[in-house]
Amino acid sequence: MLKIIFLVIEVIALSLVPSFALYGQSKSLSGRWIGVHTEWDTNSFCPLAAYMDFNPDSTWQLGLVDESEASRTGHWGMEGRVLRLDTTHYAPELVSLQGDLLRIGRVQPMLFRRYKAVAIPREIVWQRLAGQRSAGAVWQSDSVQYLIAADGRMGIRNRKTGVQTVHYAEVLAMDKSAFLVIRGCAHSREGNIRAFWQVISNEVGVIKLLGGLGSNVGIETLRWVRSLASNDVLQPTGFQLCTNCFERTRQSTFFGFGDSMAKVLDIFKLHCKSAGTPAQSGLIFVSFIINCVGEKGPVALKELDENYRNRPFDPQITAQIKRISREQLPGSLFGKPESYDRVVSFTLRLTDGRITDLF
Amino acid sequence: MKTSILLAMLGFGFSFNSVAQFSNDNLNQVAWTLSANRHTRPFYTGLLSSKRHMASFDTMAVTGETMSQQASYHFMLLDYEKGVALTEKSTELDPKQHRDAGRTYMMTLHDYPRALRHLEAFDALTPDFDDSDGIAPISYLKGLCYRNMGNHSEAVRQFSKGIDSLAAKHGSEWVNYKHYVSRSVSYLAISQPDKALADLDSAMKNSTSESPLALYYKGKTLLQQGRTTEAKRAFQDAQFFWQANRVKGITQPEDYNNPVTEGDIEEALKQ
Repeated sequence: MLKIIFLVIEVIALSLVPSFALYGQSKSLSGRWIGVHTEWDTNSFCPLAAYMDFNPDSTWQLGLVDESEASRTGHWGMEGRVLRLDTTHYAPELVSLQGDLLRIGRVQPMLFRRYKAVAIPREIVWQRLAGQRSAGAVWQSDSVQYLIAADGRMGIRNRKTGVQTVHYAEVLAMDKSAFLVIRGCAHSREGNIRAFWQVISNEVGVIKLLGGLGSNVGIETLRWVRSLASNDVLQPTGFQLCTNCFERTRQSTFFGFGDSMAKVLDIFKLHCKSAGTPAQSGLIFVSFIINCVGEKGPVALKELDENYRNRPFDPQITAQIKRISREQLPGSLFGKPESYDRVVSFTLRLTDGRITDLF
Repeated sequence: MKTSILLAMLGFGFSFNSVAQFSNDNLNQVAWTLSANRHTRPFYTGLLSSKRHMASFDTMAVTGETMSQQASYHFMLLDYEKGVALTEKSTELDPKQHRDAGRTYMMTLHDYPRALRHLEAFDALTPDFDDSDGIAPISYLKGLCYRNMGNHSEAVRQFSKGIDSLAAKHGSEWVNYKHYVSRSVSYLAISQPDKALADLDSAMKNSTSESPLALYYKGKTLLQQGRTTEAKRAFQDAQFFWQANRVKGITQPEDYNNPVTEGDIEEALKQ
């Protein structure tokens, strides 16, 4: 009877703990965890090609799957319900364990999955991916087509929209397992990672990959389609960012109010032929991205009336603003050419069709 | 004020990114992010996730202050319509929010008539006291609004109210030199160069380092007085100290409200 009472008390106590909270589970944390992604925002995920080892002897390791840098070592432990990684302590509500998924943090949560070795030689995987005699191959999942050349250059084409971006693929080995890593952009083999999956099955014509899929962990199944043809173009179909982890709001920083701003306003005043109509007053917010090689992305406009309600402006005005932004504004106005992508944004105030302010 | 500062920090307005791109194949970055996740709230703007934090408002009590903060996130997401609606509503819930609303309209949207309306409403809460936004007297902000609306006489009156109250309270040497510069710009606009020059002398006395901004307007003032040789020297000094400040790493232009650029100085020298 007493046992049953204790059991009931325990069940009630556990039910008070958030369902995913880490609760005295140092044993269940032991082992290797593979990164899935860092959640930049609720709809923005950046692949996390790292691993963490929680060893039973209380040593802890953090490393990159490609082992391009020496791993970091330290000690870990559970102090009550607090996870400690060396000198860093994580409050109970910041660490949750749900099945084989470990989530750490709240400001930029990092998701890890429990690692299970799947012994597959990476050479075999690459041979399959790159096709017979390394002539290149085309694979596809439900939504994406992957065009892989022998040198690793890879086109990722959305099957629905036909939009293609270009990256580089390689198969890495860690432990006995193989990992497919897609990184870089059309201009560089280097750069951050676009996708990172563990190969969990490698049969003729079908390769199964485990890792991050949007906000979740899932299996991407690639099916062989055909060999790469000579007319398969491994170039982006449009503007492509150099980085694979990008969020507009995060990657805009304060510019200031220097010469560039005055020059941009002068250029608009010079090239924008006013329609001169009284009804054309309000704000037009202009934004575009300049990538790491100086290419400009599409120009986006937001149009508001004087009371900050959405409104359409005369298409003659908006077409001019788009054209000037695209063709007349030199990239040098927005900083020195850099090896990263830049968001440029500004607001034009229009009074009776004339540009009167820029900020 | 929090709203405006947040928006400025987040790069709202004229902006481009000037930070190295995030790299997810760098162990330092991974370790840093892991460590940063020990915090329960973002501790610097680079960690702000707009949508996630927007969602956090759903669980907060609805007050003027939280509504004002929520508005700032809408501005960050470029949703001006909601941002403005929430800003207005925040002032209905809590009249103290007129201060943030005024600053948002002034700094973020350059909408000076609306900014003035809110600053007047905030000022009216304590009629016998020259309120402050924590950095500058409200009368100074009102002066800037009037100046940007072309009403320089009223701008001078408001600037003087702010300058006089600060000088009476702390001594004229404690008045921010930018306030003197702002008033001098309005004096120049209404052709009172003697008063402008006196203000610029005070500005240069109070500035902690040589100010190209004050020197530029001194040049303009001397030109208005017909003293071209002295004006040229002032512009040359402005150019010299601009370059010196750049070497020292001092942020330029010095003042968002008086955005004199190197190009302006060069242009003045050409003339």
